[in-house]
Amino acid sequence: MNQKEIDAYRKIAAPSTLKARIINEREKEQKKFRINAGICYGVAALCAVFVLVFTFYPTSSIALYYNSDALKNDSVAVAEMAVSQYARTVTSEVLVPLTLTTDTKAEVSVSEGFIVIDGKDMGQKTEIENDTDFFWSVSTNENSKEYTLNIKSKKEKITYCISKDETNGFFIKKAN
Amino acid sequence: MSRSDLGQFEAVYSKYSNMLYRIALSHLLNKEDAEDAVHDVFIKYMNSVFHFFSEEHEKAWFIRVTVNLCHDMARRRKIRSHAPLEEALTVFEEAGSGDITRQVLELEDIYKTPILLHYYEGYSVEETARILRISVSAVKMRLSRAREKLKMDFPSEG
Repeated sequence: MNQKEIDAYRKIAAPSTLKARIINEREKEQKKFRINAGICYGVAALCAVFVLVFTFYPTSSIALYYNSDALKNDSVAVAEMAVSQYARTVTSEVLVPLTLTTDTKAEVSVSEGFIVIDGKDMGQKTEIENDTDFFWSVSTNENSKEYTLNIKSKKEKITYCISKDETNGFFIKKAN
Repeated sequence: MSRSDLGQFEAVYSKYSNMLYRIALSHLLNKEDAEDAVHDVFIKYMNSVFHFFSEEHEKAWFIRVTVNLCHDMARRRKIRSHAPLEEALTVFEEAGSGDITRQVLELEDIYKTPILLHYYEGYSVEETARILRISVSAVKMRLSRAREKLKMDFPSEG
């Protein structure tokens, strides 16, 4: 092999512009990568926020049942009430049998009447920690007047109300 | 040091760019395509994450990737049937290359690559075999057949 040929071959060099072209291309790629990474981080952060929101979103762990039916915003007819055996005054006081299910400590209070648990008069306000059957004894001698029962826990506050309709009788429903 | 680091890139570029450009030009016979090939090889290098065990390993990687890329480009763009050989030859002639180089450039790639690496770039038969990932005997056979085709008085490899 002729050394002259080899030397001539080895004289051939890459164009001087090639290096700058590669550097520019690399910078463009890195910029694109940074933008994509930024978008990915943004999406990931958004997902994390959603997960946190859904994880810690206060979901109700408290429910109130009347005759095994969970009370919601629809009015539920309350059966003709018997005269309360715990009545303090006259026969206008009635007894509503309720069941509270809760996995947290809840304060139960009534605007009128009193609460009865296991035959014991608990007054207008009591604390319940577990699933509990109780009665709400309330005076119903005034038509259209609404009485409320409030359940308050650390997470939420729920209000139920009972009212008397002159023609249709008694109704109870969730107020909020 | 990261491969995207400018200093690292410049060191590697100055070490291999000319050799890779010559190899690419010899295969593609077109200045722009050769430039594109070398460009793509360096971008591939900077985007790669694997570790080179030695400088020889790194050099072999560069040459192998360049040759493979040239084969792909030649296939894709049908360089052989369209690119004017004269254009590439001008570059070689301007550098002072003669008839032998011209004939080498006209060889098929299978023979051209070992000839370029062994005779022009100065790699031993063993190094050429490692770079091309073929056996030493295959390199010797290809060099022998290439010499026959060229009908030139090349020295025997060894």
